[in-house]
Amino acid sequence: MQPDRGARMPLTTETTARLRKTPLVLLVVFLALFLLGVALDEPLRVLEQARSICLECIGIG
Amino acid sequence: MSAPPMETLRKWIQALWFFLTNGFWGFPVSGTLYQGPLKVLCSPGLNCYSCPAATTFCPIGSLQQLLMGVRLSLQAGQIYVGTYVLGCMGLLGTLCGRFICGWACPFGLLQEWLHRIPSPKYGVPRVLRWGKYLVLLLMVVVLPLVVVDSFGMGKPWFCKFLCPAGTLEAGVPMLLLSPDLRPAAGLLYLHKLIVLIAVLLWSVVSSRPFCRTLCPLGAFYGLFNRFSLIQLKFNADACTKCGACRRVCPVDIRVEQTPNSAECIRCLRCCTEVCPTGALTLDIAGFGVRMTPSAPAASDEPIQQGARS
Repeated sequence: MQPDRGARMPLTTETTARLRKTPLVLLVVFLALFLLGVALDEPLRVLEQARSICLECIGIG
Repeated sequence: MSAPPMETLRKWIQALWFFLTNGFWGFPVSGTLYQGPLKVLCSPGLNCYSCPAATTFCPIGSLQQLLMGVRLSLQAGQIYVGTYVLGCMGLLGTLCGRFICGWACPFGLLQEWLHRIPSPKYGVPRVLRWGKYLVLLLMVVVLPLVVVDSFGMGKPWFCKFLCPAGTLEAGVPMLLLSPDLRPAAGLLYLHKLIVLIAVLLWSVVSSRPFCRTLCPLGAFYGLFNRFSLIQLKFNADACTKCGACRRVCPVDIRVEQTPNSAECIRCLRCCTEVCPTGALTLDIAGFGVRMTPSAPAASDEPIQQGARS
């Protein structure tokens, strides 16, 4: 197998395995956050905000 | 000389994302911004949702809005703490990392266009790259949460005082469309215009300066570059150390040392345009994609994007 220098740490088998697992763990965590947000009706709040112009945000007022 | 096929494809995809996230062209007639259901979707790149043409929400703008109002929403019994927005950002980051910056960000595309203007080219000092993490931490998270008025409401610090995308996409068009707003444009608007002009001028002489030094969304996605499903793989045995990859890199990465650097915007120019030996490959969820250029560039080719610092 060719050496992988994707990261600066020494690439032991354990490190490589951890790097491969990390995206899955992150996906699960952020999917859980996303679903929690949906369950709390946060998309509606986001939609409310996005439908109006925030004048302060664009430097007016 | 015509652009390499992958670079042409990238430009088309950037343009497509620009129009997908800014697809409401009825605003001059309607006199208002898009208010349809698509605005519940997260824009992958930095794209102001107060832009009259915007069809999606800006993750940084939304996150700030939720954080600055978190006290009031909790007092009202609503738990709006940004989990939906953070979930969207995290999923995009885990799947793509800064691939989004290189392929789907309208403000990144604008900076690339400006950098094509003939002019002397300069690098960006490496130390400035830490600025975007400070902006993310302080202006997007800490200050909107902590600095509040007597009602418990914070301010959108990044949008209000820094974001040049908001000024360009929303501030300027709104003043053009609505004469009634013009008297309200004061010193703050002037400050934001100066920031915008400075960033645009800097983009002419340096490659993607905003992405590299100030963009909080790029900083967030950069944290995922080592872990995202899209990765660059480097084969040291195949590398001839010709340095062509670094010369073509728009963000001045030492590709042979850190192919998955948090700075890498995954433009893929190193793999698809210059690496003569195929030492760099794209890896998508564990599947390697080798993209050796058909005509290797000469190793003494001058720097195209002035990325050196």
